[in-house]
Amino acid sequence: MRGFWLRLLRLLRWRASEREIDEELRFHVEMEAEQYLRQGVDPAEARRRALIALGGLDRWREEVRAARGTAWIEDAVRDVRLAVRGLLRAPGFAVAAVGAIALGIGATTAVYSVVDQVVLSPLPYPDSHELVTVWTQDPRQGAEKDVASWPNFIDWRDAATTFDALATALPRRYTLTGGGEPEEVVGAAVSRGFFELIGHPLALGRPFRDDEVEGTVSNVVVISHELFARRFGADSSVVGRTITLDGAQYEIVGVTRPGSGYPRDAALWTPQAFPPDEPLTKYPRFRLLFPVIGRLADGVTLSAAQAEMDAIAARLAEAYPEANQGTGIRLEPLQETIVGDARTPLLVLLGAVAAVMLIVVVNVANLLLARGTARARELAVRLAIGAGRGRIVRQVLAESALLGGLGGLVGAALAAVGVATLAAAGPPELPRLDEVRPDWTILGIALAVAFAAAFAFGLVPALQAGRADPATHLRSGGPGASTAALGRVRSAFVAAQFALALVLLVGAGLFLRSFLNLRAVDPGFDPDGVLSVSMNLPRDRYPNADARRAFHQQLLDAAAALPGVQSVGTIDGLFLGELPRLGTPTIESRPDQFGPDTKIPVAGRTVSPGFFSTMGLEIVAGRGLDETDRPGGVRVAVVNETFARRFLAGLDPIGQRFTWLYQGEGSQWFTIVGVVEGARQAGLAAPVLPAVFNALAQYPPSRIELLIRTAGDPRSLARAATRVVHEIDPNLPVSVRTLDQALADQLAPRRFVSSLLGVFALAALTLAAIGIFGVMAYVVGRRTREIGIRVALGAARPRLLFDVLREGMLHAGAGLVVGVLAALGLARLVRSQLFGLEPTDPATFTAAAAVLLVVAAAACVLPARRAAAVDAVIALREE
Amino acid sequence: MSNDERADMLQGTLDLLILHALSLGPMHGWGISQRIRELSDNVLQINQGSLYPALHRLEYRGLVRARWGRSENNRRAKIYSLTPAGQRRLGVEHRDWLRFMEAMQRVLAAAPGALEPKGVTR
Repeated sequence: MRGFWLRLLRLLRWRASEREIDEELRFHVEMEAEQYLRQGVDPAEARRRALIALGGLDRWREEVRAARGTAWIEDAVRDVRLAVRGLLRAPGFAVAAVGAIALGIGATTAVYSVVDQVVLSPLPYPDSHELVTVWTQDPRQGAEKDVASWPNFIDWRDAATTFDALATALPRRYTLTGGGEPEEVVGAAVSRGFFELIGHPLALGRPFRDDEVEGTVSNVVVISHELFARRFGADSSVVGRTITLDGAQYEIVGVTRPGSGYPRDAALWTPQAFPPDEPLTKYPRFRLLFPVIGRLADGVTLSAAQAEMDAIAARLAEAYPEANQGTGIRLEPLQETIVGDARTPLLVLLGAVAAVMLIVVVNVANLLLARGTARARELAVRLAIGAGRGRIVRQVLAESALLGGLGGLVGAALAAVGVATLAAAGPPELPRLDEVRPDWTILGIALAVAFAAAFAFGLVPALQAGRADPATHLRSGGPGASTAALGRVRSAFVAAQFALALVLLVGAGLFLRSFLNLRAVDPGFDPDGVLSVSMNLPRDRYPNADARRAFHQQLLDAAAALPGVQSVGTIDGLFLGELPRLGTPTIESRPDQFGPDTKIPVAGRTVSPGFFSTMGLEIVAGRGLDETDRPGGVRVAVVNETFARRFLAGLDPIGQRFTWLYQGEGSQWFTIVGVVEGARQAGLAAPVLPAVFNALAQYPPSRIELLIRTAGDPRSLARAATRVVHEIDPNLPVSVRTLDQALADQLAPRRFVSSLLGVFALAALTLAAIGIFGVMAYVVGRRTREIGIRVALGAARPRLLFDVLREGMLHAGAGLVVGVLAALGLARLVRSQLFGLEPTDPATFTAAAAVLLVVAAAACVLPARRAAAVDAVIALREE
Repeated sequence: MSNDERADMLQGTLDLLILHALSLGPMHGWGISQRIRELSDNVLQINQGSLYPALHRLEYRGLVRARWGRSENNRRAKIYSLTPAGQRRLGVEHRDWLRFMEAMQRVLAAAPGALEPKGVTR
């Protein structure tokens, strides 16, 4: 310990003690010289002898330092200083190497941080690996993962032994009024034991009591920490206060801790209740409505639980065949449910960034090998004048460490910026993106990889220089056989970079073309110039159909009167959103068209008469809906062409009557009055579903989207449209968007992935170009003399240019072949992410290869022109 | 002989010589080398390149103390003196040296035939 402090102290006094050593030494030399003087030697000779007796000033200094125990630190400082000087002398090399390392480290860290924290790391709940989603599976209806009916959920909960608990959380929207602007918030109605199951801890208050849940309404609510902070100023006295939800008073009993709730974005939770006007009988066994999650009992595996649930599903199918026949239960880790479709694209990005990192390593290795070869002679000279081999190796390592350190520093900054950019630019669908922070572990790993590469490839030429007899190097005046071997390694590296770059180019091309294909899809409706204003009528102020009908009528009239409006319409829910799906309809005139086991999903919507014209949908037969379709009259429906084709083939659809499967007692018959062209309501990538449109007045919904078509920019109407709603009901929260925006949002995830891949491909291509440029420039430089001789012998300049180009293109070509093979294999893995093209899309592959070859040729042109411009006389005199 | 081997052989004796020279009174580095040379009648010539490293090593180990003072011709010089630990160390090293000398003496004094009784029979 004492030694350490002494050493530290000495290091702090380093400069002072350096001076002291010099002074002591000077004193000694003078004393020695004086003695020689006394013996009659002349002064200059005396001093010379004194120095000789001392055995060389520098060595002496060195040994004194070593004895003082601080030598290694002082040496390190000196090595770094030398390295800085060395790099400053080769600024191009330094910038390229530091830039490549920083790019690799920054990109890898940023993307890995996102992927890790969104996809790979556990959910922020205790023992989150035990959490699963319990889906209803109905293969005949094409529903692999559907929510559950209430009676089935209760039966599952009662029967399951492999679970500690099962619960539902039914997502709902609540209108929050009082103490600020009216606001629509997302929340969930939860069943018994939900908070205990999920394990999301409460910061304040308590979870619901069993007697508060699953009965008639008990007005208690747990609010999220986010809402607590935003709306209540994080005032802890909020527990016990009442808030107004959908016009009813609720007592706040608890506040959650910060962090994601479940469902994500939930701002509050209320007990699942069955009020008198919406009794439990309204939730029959075939009404699939409730998302179910469960917590596996200790030590139970997913497959064991799945086996038990299979047995339970079979029993329930037997007991309730009309609702449950053919249905099963499917368990899925909650993590997968939440991450969902984001998984594959994120893993693709991770693969891409790994490829970029690999290119960086190869590139840095290449740069270092080139530099090492160029310095072989310098190192040999230094060896010859007595530098220790260890010293030379250490100095090379210091340079590598400096490169790695600078690259790491810039890379860490890039990573921080990158994560922030990804979080901001990422599509809103990407879950948990707002929680992502740079991952310091991966930063460390990337840094270690960069350092290792820098050390390893910095060392190879240094060792080779150290091993060779200095004399050989000096005599031959050029590189020997060992450097030729290094040259081959560098060629292989260049080819490898091009192979990786090609894989990235193909990947980026495939995703870009998928994105463009999707954007080019005809949605079937005309989104241009349509403003969407959505709202939810709270039950307290709009308790029945008449109240809602009155509101709808007022709203449509007022909106139609706005200046510049061409037409207005409404639809229940959101046009581009989740579809309310219903089972196979039964056609009156063809009751046995399908067997009882066939379930074909049909989209059921309720729209106002102006809806079709507002959306630019043409009525192809019969009529649209109109003002004559009133409550109490004939129940009418307009179906789309897909519906007509699927269920009414060979019939005149107009006047046909149909009913829904599972309507149970008192089946309602709908009379078809018209056929409308199909539209992609479920998203651009999904096919057009058979659809039924009912009349708004006959089934007035509480959640509606008002659609306004205008000749100008729909956004200019946003303020006026909101005012229209608030003139009718000042306490109604609305959300406004344009249909164009809604469509663009659908494309956002693909745009995100393809633009990121594009950036990576560009980076890879740039690095590969730097790589091939470096190698060719080196080759030309080394062969200046040979080229000079050829010039002197009368070689044609174009021929020289061509030779260099050909050699460069051989490298690129080798990389191209390997890259195409690798890309063919890897592209198959992303088939599910592509839209409208095959993973082997020839156009994409051709374009990628062409881009690569052009870039390679461009990078070779400069060295080639330099070769062609070699002056024979100068080249030969140089040596 | 390489540098390293000489250093090995001299390591112990050089430290002992320096410690002893300093036990006669504080002195600067050059003076120490002179003192040893004079006392050994010019037989022991300290390699100057190893004197200072040795002095710094001894200082680092706390056996000698260094402070800037004046030389006999009134020049600024670094003057070394023995610490109490150095004093003790000198005692130990001196004893060890004497034991080593004795052992050497005995080995070198042995006449031919001295080992015969215990030796290997032919």
